Amino acid sequence: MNKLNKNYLQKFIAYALLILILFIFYFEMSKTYPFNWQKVPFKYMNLYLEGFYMTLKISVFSIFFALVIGMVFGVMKTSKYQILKELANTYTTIFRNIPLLVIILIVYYGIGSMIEISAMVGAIISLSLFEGAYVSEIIRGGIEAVPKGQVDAAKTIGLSTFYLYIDILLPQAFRTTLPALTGQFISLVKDSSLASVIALQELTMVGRQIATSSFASFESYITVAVFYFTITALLQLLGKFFERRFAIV
Amino acid sequence: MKKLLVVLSIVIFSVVIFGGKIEEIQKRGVLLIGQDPAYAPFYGINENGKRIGHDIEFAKILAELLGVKVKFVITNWDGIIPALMTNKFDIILAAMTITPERALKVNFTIPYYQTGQALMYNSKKYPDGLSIKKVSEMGEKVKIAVQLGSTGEIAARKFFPKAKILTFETVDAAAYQLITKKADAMIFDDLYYGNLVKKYPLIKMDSSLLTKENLGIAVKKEDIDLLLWLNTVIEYLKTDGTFEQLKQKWMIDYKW
Amino acid sequence: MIEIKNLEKSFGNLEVLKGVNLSVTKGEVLVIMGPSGSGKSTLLRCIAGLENYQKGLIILEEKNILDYTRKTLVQKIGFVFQQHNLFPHLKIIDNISLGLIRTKKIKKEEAYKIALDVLEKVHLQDKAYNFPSQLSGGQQQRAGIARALAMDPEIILFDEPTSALDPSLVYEVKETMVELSKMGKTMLVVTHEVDFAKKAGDRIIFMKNGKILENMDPDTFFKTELKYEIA
Repeated sequence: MNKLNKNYLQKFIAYALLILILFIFYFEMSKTYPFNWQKVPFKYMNLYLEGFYMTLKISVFSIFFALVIGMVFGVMKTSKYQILKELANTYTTIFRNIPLLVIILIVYYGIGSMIEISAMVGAIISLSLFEGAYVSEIIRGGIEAVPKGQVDAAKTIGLSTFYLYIDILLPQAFRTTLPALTGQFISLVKDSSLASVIALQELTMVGRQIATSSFASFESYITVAVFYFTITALLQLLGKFFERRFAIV
Repeated sequence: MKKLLVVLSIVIFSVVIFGGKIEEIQKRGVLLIGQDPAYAPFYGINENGKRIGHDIEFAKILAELLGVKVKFVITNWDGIIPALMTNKFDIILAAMTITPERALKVNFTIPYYQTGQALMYNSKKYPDGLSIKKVSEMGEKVKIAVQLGSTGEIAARKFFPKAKILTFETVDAAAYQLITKKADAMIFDDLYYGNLVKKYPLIKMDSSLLTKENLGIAVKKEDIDLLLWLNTVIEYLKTDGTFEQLKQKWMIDYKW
Repeated sequence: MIEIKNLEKSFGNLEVLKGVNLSVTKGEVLVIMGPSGSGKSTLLRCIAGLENYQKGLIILEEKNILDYTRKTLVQKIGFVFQQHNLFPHLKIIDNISLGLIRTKKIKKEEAYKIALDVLEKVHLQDKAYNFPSQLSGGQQQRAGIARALAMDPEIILFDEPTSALDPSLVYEVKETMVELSKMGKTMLVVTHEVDFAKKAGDRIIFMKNGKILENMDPDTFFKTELKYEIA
């Protein structure tokens, strides 16, 4: 048997084992718990899909803004100007040391008392600010990991600081930090469930609501888990795709 | 007579100062009702996401009497009283138990529903039944499942201070602990029993209640005109049999 | 063309250049030799504006190089690194045209044309659309030379262009440099390649401990070479 086949066999056994464990777990539980899948999730599928869509929506917007925020602050951290560095570092310190749940409450009820914002906007602002702090650290690390020779080379062809970042540092930092960024964005999707605290009708909220309304809690929680898994698994694939697409061979 | 005079002058005073709340609602054309996401069978959602339940139907009756539409504003339970005080909605109609503490911040109508905290158990584990007395005697050996932050939790901690209290998010999840015998008893609103026993036939309820609770509508302190009108309506619906019908429909017949 | 007067440079307490005086005329190929740590590379980097220095003057065409903007300086001086320092995420042609587009503000199609011309000079036109990692060490170094050439500088500085290469790949790079020297570019080459010095060098300076010890033509230099450890 050649090595490739052996690897596949081991992979297969691993999956089979996992599925078996899940099956035993389910079988044991169903001895005592009357699972009723027809009711939940299938009767309520439209509601789950709405929640799924909302989670997707706030995740996509937050990923975009977190990336923008992270990029700006990440670049500021590598600046030679001390004031920019301090500003960016302070931002990171603040948002990495406050729980996301608290940030959501402060943003929604705090900012919300000054200007009218919807729960969705509140969630997107909170998630972007919170995850942006982490993204900025990742980007900073990525920029600092670019070899010094690259900066020298950029200088010898006359690139300004702006183009040094745009053409050389950021593209390379983006490539090396892709796995870390993917991981961060997977966290973001999962963290978005905290937005249920401001009664935003996202996946977790819908799942809890149906759990209470239907007397079928476990079916609802499992359904929610499957939906989250779908999003994060897709993100992981997307990350892998980009990694391969932009690999510096 | 003196009391009446005081109440009357307060009403007139508040109407003059704040304008009539009822008038405001009717001008707006919508009655705004504060609720948290779900608390079946009082309020929850059906397969289409429409809000249904005892309090939903009650709310619709109120709106109809006012000649306006009804809109439910969903907030989390923690923030529901502050939200009322900051005018996010007109009333809280959300199976809210009348308590002296809450009554310092809002005014309650007269009760529209009386419920109680009941003791439930697994009849297979306790074939001879389980009572409040027996549970007290078991002291710290007993495990009691409750819903986090519910009046059931408060009652459980008060009546059985030694017991180990397990908290859950839904009544369903708590009941499952009885089935798997991880908990000896659960303390919940008695009205859940009808729906629970459909799903878990093994569960039985002790007939004597630990506490009785009155549910009322919460109104902002200054909306005296609305409060008086709501009291009148509740009184009326009690006598004309509407509440009995609602109870039969949502607490007993409806398959949640 | 270049006039260096009493140049001093130190990194912290470490004095690297201790008063270097040197003048280079237009079209000259100057070979700089000396043991490692003698300050050859630092001298080159100072001229290219990649390092600051504490004392002295570097004058390029009657003007202090500190008075040049980066933009104007890079059009006078090109630089070839020991480690090619190509941009790994850009194709060879983009590596070469980037400076043209960003610094000289040449349109992309035009810049590509120039890049292809330059690549032809280093015999790499068929690798234009490859990434640096797909090239051999010698090809990478020639692409690095092409990148410097594309800006059309009057002077090109070479910082040990062959010393990071596998010995079997040194030849092609050396040949490319010899060809360049025949085109009349002013070149300052830090190298250990005696071969190149003899073939293409107009003059050799020998540095040690931050000072220039010898400054003569190759024939004379290699007759007296036994005096020094060259590498």
